[in-house]
Amino acid sequence: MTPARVVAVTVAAALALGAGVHAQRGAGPGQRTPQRAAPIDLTGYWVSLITEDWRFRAVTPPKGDVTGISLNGAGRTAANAWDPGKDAAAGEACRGYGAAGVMRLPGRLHITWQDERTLKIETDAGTQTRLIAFTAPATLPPPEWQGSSVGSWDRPSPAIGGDFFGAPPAAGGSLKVVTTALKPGYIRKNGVPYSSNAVLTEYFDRFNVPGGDSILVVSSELVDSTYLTQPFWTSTHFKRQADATGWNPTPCRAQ
Amino acid sequence: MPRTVARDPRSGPGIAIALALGAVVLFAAQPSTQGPPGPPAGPPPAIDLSGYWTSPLHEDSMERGAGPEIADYGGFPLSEAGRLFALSYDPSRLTLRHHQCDGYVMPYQIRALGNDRAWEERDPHTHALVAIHWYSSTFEGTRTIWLDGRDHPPAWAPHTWMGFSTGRFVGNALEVQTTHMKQGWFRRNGMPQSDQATATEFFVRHGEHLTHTVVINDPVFMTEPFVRTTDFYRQPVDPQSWLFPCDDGEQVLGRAPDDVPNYLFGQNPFVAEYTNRYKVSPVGHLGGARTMYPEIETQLRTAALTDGTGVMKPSTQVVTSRAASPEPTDGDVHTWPLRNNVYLLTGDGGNIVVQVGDEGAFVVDAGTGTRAAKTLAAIRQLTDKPIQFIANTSSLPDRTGGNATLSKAGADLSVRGTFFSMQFRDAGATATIIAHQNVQNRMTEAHMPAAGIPSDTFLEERRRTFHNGDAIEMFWQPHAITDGDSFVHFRQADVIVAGDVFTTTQFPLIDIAHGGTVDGEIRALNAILDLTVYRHSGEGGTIVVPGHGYVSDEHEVVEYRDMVAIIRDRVRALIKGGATLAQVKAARPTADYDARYGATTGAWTTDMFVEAVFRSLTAAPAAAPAASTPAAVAKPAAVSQGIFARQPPAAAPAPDSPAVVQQIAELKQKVEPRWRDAVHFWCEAPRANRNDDPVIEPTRVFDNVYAIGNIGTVVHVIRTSAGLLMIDALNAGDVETQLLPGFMKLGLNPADVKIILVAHGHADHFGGAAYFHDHYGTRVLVAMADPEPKARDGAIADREPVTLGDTTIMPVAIPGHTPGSMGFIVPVADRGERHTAALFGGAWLTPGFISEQGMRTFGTSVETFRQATSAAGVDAWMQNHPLMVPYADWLAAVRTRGDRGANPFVVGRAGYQSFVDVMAGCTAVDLQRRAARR
Repeated sequence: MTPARVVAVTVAAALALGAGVHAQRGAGPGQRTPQRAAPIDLTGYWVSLITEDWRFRAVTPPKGDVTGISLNGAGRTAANAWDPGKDAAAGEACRGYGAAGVMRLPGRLHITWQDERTLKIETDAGTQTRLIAFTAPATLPPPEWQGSSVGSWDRPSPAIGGDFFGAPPAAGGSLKVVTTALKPGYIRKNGVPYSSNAVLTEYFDRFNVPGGDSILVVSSELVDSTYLTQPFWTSTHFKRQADATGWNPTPCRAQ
Repeated sequence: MPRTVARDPRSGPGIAIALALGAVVLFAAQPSTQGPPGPPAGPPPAIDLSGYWTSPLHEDSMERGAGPEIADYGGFPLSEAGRLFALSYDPSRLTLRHHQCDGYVMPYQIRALGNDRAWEERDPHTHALVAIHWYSSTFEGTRTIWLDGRDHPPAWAPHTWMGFSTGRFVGNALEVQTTHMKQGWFRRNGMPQSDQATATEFFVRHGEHLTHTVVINDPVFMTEPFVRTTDFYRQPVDPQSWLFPCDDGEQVLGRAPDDVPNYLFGQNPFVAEYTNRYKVSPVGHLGGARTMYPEIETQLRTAALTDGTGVMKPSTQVVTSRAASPEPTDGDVHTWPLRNNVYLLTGDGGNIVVQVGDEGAFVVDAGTGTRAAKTLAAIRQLTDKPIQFIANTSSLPDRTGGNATLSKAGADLSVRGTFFSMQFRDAGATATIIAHQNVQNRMTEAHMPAAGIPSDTFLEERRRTFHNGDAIEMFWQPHAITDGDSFVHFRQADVIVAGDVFTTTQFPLIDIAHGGTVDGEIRALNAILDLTVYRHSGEGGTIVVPGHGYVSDEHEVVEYRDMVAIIRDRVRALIKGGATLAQVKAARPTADYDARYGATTGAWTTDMFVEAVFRSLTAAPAAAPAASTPAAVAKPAAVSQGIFARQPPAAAPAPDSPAVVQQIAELKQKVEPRWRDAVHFWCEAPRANRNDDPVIEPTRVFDNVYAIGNIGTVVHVIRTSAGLLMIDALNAGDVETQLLPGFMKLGLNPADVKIILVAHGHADHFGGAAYFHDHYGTRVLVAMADPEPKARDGAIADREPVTLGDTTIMPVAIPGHTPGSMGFIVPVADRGERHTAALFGGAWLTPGFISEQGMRTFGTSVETFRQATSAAGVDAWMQNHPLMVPYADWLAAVRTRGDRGANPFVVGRAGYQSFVDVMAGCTAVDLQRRAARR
């Protein structure tokens, strides 16, 4: 073989072998559970740091104060019709504690693995539980406050990969959660609405700050053509606690 | 790689195979932390930030859009210092020229509305990632995140809005460390971020959604780390809106240069506004670490709207600086390039600046001298020429301690070969030490070694020389921290060496005993600011080297000036309220700055600074700035002597004799009714003017005359065709609080004041004149017979008219109250009708201050004035101490009289002479009483 042919053959072999190794490293179903494949550890107690939108979170703002949220006409009408007494009487005091609102409320999270394929996020605000499955259900369940959440581990990756010049797999990762099947609820406790059509996409990232603190950041996008004119983006942050200090489950409160 | 292998002359099948297999192994076994060639600092790039990004204003939209509410601090872990600083902040501060274009510090910049753009900088040969650049359109904030493993600069390096950032990739995020930020704000309502803050950031990207997390540590203004997250969406096309030009300009005309808008502790009027508008208790919205945590929700459910306001005033805790030392601690002298041929040397107890060039080194300040040998070694690293000049910015030991050593190691070659070298064998054998004359005086007084005492001195405001291709100027700053301070400006390099007038390490060391004053210190800082020019957004441009601390620009000087002026205002207010020194100290007027500059030990403590400010404000008004001669270091202002010497108030008077009672009763019958109150005041119930006399509403009393001041002491401003003429100038301390605001209210420009006539040489009449002289070039005229004020531009003499434009004023000498007291006859008009007014500028208020002989002289002067005013046909009344009439009512009558109402100040010819009768009559009464006491 000429030197050029040697190179060509060897490179071809290399490509084939490399591709094979990539395939083996993938966390295929049945081989690595979501818990084992987790690139980051989100478990533990986390306390929310209310350093943004403080006036909308530390207190319930007055009716009609929808500052910062791009509501359409129907959304504004619904926000202006907010009646916490009526919600409470109708047994819907938890409207402000649905998945699209609860992460923004003052409180603590307790994150655990319910099993190797289900991440559980409990909130003491409203005593809510979010279950993150890593496999989409065959059929959507009926709407609930916390809806139906499907998680996946997310890494930066090209649209098409695997060729010789492709980027290597990125380090680290995030938890991506897509939630649907939501009961209509409130983005803010003062009745700023989202509908049952809403789709909530969240990314959970953990950052370790030099000096010891760990920060959990939940970047979220709420899409709801019923009430919003554009996607609503927030990023909410929590500080890790060593224990359950301050964990104080409280019932939903409509006001 | 394959193509390169094929072309390599050394290549053959074996090499090709080996490389290819190597690639296989590498590819197959690739751990997550390896990849293409990367920077040496850590893992390779995990994410690409390049592109256009914009942040939606879905969070904190009001703050980031229209602007936050004042007193909205909820969710911020403010320390007491941070809260008090914010509460003291008056947004009008942004109208000050040097604040108008202030940029944003990095954490606020990245939160601001606007477009952002990121791009990579890669090594052209290795394509390793060197840096990521991030540009924000608002204020054109530009930052560089270095990824090449470099260190952060030393503590004495400049601070910038964006700070100095280094990064590394951790997991799927870019982690960034930032130091060296300027003082700025956490929020646009005055909530401060100090220059000691550092930040850790994380950038993580999820498709087109970029999330930025910042954790800020601020040991001065925060008690816990502050965390904030911001979202960005990717812009697929160039948003094109990138620029944010800003030039400062005149926003408030005529404002005093030392007027820094601020609220006194406990007096911010907007706290209650926020509380009531949003029905949120100050327990929450005044911030603090606990307001970040969920428990605040429960607390706010039960807190009353009146709770939580106790934190608006300083606590009693003792707070000292939490700032890091900006000076070397390794025992070495370090060099930092400033600009052109000018360098900073730091490490010998005080900053030293060196300019090098063909003519020999020009050194500004010499440090303490403890490490003078190392300083010399550092200079020799910069130049092989000798030190030719050493300039001292003051006589303080951290400026002059190294003089002798550095001077001996130098030589002034400009002297050799001259006449002097013929006469003096040692001429030019050492470097020449230059300083203001008062530096020489102070060092001589202190018996410092002769070799270290400046020999080349100057007396006036400016000394200049051209050296090593640059113009170098020294500007004397009278009565700043001492009486001999100067700062040095290298004009081409545009470097100002401030000396200890400005530091980044401590409250200003105002040495009262050596001529320092707080107002002089503020003037000195403003003088520096008169020369600085920023490059962009209030930073860069002119470099200012502090006496101690890191290399600065005008922003640091402005913040320092603001601090001194604000603390001065607080102390002055406390004094005005009757507080003693101990009470002033207990009130902690420095509370919001203690965590940055405070000290309880060492050479300059917070207590010492507060005491210096207090004594500076309560001392007798200083003589106007003047250089002392070599023979006489500045002495306390002389006290007038002889028959005019001030005497203590008399003891409680004995009851009047029947004759005196009768005399007063007859006088009341004699004078016009309008003056009966004046008779009562002068004859029966006199009192001196006081600092707390109520301020009057500035009023136009005649067509061409305006009154400004208080009911005890009034300045008259006379408009002429050639500018303004002023009779008297109030106390120095009243300029900012009464005089200049009065000008503003009346629409007058203080810069138009061409002449001040001082009615007599007491501080309540001339104290403010120096300000006008210094700032506007106003000519100050005083009678020769009065020794004060010393700074004057000419004399007023009896019956020698003073003319400005179309207005001529006739002075009439009326000695008695002081030897040089003057009355003035002034042409005025009322609704276009001409009148002649008179002002008796030397009226006594409390007779106990005048000797009997002085009172007799006064009586004679009253008669002189009677003749002069009668001859001139005086029919209108002006008075600089109008306590004898209901002055505020008279002013109100002028303002509200409508088209037909009478002007109470137009009293008629007989009316004016009746007023003279009052003065003559009560003088006679006083003499009668004195006779009765003998």
